[in-house]
Amino acid sequence: MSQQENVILEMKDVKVQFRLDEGLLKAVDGVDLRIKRGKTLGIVGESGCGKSVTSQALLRIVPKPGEVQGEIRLTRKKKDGSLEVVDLAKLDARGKEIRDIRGAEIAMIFQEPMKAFSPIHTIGNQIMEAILLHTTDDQDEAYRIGVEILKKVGMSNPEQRMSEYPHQLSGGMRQRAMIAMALSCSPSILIADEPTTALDVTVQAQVLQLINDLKSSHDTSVIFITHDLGVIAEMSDDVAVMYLGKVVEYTDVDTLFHHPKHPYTKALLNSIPSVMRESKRLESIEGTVPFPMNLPKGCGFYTRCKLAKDGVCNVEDVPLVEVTAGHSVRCLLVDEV
Amino acid sequence: MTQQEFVLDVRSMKKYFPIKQGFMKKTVGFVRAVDDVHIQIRPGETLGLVGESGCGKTTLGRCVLRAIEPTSGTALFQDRQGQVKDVLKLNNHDLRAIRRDMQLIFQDPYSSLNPRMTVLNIIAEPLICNGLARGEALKERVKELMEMVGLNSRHLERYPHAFSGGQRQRIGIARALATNPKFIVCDEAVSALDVSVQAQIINLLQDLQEKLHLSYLFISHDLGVIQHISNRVGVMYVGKMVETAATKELFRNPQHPYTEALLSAKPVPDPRKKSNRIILAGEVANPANPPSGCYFHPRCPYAQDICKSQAPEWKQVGEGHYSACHFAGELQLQGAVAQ
Amino acid sequence: MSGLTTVINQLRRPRTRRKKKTDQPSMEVASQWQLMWWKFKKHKLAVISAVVLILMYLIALFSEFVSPNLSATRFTAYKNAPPQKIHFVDAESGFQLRPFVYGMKEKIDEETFLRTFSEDKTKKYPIQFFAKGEPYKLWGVIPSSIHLFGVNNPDGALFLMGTDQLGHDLFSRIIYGGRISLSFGLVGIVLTLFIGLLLGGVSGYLGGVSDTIIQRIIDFLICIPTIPLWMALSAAVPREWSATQMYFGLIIIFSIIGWTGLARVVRGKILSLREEDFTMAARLAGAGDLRIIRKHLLPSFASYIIVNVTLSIPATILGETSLSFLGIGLQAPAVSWGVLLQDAQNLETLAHHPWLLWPAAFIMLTVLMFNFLGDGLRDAADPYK
Repeated sequence: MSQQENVILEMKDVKVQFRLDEGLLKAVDGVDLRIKRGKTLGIVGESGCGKSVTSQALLRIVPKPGEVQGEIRLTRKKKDGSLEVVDLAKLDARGKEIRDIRGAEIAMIFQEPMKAFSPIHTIGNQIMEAILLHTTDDQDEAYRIGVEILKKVGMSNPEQRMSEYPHQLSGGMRQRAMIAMALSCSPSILIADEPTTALDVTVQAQVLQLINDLKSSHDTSVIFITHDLGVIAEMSDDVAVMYLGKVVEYTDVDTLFHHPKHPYTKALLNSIPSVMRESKRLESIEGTVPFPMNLPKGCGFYTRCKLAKDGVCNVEDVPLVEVTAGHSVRCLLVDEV
Repeated sequence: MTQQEFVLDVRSMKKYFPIKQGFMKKTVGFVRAVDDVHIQIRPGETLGLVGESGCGKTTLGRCVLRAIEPTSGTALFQDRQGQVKDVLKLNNHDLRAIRRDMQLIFQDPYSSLNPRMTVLNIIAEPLICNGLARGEALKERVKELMEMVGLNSRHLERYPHAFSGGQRQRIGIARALATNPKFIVCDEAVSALDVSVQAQIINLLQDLQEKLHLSYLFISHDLGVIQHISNRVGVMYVGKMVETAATKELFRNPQHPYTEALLSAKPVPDPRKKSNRIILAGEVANPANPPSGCYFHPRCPYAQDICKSQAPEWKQVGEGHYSACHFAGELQLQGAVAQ
Repeated sequence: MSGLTTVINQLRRPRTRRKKKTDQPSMEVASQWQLMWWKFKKHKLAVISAVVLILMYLIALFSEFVSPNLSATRFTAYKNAPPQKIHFVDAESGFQLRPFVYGMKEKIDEETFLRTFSEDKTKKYPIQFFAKGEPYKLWGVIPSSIHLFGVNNPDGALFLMGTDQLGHDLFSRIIYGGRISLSFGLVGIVLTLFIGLLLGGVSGYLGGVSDTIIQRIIDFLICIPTIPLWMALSAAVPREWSATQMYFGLIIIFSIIGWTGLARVVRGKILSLREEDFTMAARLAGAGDLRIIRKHLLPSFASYIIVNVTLSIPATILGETSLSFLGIGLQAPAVSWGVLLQDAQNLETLAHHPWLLWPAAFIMLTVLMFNFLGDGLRDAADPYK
């Protein structure tokens, strides 16, 4: 059962719904994902596909009036070394248990580091706060760990940085400080929600390399959320492609980029202008993503899919089927394409 | 026959923003947003302008249109009568006239359309202001423009909030095309869009270019987009142009270490090509307080002593290939496409 | 753009989507004002406030007709009379649907000389709609003697909120006072609006020296304590001015001070709108300054101006009330809520005649309603965010 042991987090049929007067907004609609120890799961999709809400469901920080349903099974080590399984979806979103998990077991880094830091406290104070909350009670010990971790994320003069305020740092440095804060309690899972979207390419390259280095040195699992397929290819071991709150294709990174099966994935890959490919025209996907409320039955991609068949694709909701080992696709016509 | 050769010929364009401080608003220094830049654009050609944030590419694009006043330089523009005029020397009246021929497409499809106007009014504005059409003819022209950019012309009376980001960008394009311009500055025109929609807009821009024989100055931070759409590319760093060349040449045979680093830093959507990339140290220099000599020297892996003291010259290294590096032509730099 | 922000943004305007099903214009072609109206309608408290305010202004407009008595009429037999009770049950005839009041008998306590009133059950005056009462001229033009309700009996009288020490019917006077106090808020804001828009607009659009000068004037004006300044200015108004002159005099005083807030809002809005891409797009399209102001800037901040104005009306009403209360605003025989409250200045009168505080209740209601309304308008002001 080594396979099973390696899965540190498993999401089963996770749904996040916003109950509104107008109807049910299904931001995440039945997502099954597995995060393996020390690996990176990339989640890719266009805006509004539910990739960010999925990660918020893990930490139970979905904004109101969102509700989380399904199972989110986190395997964690107890203090005596034995393993226990917690279902995060069942926990009280404001309870002590989930607060213990946030930061200590699962940490998160955001797109805009300036918003994640409080502008009125020093970087040091904010990093130490997390450490004091989860790891140690000793101020000096916390300071030492803080300096250590800043050094680890590649910041020059860590002691000086500890006493600086967020606005004194540049964009890339801030993102490093945020990664430092996220890693300060050695979490087993790091969620990175578009961590490099606001950065310049050369700085993005630095941050991506940093995350990869830390992943291997800390044996941390990473959930990497982005809309950039280039970054996904660079970072991930496994990839889930999301569309309209559902995972439409889920496989390892090599298969995804070289043998994609779902029409959406294929179209997405063909629509990026690439340095590698020199063709005159890009393949675009017609139309836009529908609004995830009161959707008709059938495949969510039906309206934009070139292969869609009336009477086949728009009848029943399409299940996610494992076509080959470790490669799941949500398409009825998967054998024909 | 230089008059025929270029739609736009910009020489020594400079834009310095004064830094004012204190109660008396004394000027204590300048941000050199655009510093002595030359660009040439031929008819029907796309010049891509790439660089990281703060490199001055947006400022350059707006200075060319005189949407902001440049500090100095010349910008010779050939208008529809074939007359060459210096945009920077025109008075208000002539400027308004010449803007029929040069237009701008914005990055943000949300803030660039007035939410309180219908699509008809938005697209018609340039036509009304220039007295080009009125009444039924105006409506017909707007419908024609909408269909040209792939919008349903029955949606004439709708407001921008009823459209998605991609459709709004189409409205912005229709507005830019209203006066039949010859030259359009696309300022990060596809950066705010999702990939699948981005592809739609890029295709549309290319189709329009072919059909209407447009010239583009295409500004973007995305090398993939730049490579796809441009005939020639200019790379900017901290207000200066560091390299220009034909697209293929630039991507295969970069002659400036910054270009090389930029090409290498771009993540490639192919996991089998995990790059052995050049990771630059540090971040983009502050244009208010740039380093001495070559602005790139603190991050450059090939920097020598001369780079710290002397600003490099703008050298020709090949046919239509220019670079501002002391060692241009001497370094063996790695391109993006295997040769 | 992360997925969540899109979801949240779209969460905020789902209600309008439903409009497609109904006959109302769909949201695709809904103008700014339609969107604002839809959003405003969701704010129940604001809608109720709007209705209440409209009702109050209608009453003020038709005060001669609505009030059962005239404001100047003195009922010498009923000085300081308490509010009458409205009855439905009579000892003789039992319950009846038509309400009625009893006449009042005055009694003087022989020890304390305190006047008290008791109901005179022998005199019964049914309250009737469209009762014939004292003749008046509506707006000084249309002669009539029909009142919305009254007792239809020249001997009887109706004091729903008691009388003052001169025997005026307080309820009727509150209605007449409402005409002045409520209109003061509206009329007062017109001048404020004019000055604020003009100076704020100049300051924001032109910038430079004119901006600096106007901003310094604003800084100076808002650091002066308001009440003393009002007092000084109104003391400068000649005593022999008529009530009407005084009314407009006060409006000028308030506008001189009140425009500063509005001017700042206008300037701020113009500064931010000038930076918007669509303003630059208009300029590149060849639009002149005038067109940009008319087509792009004005429509964009009109809604903010309305909100701001709504929120500053109650301040003006309160200002007038304070000045009149202090005796340096409008003077009797002019009737405003502040003037009426002057009677309630004395603690002793208050102890014996608490009904004299009724005008205060109306002031509070008005201010509260304006604040709720402003709140709803503010939420609706920018339907695109």
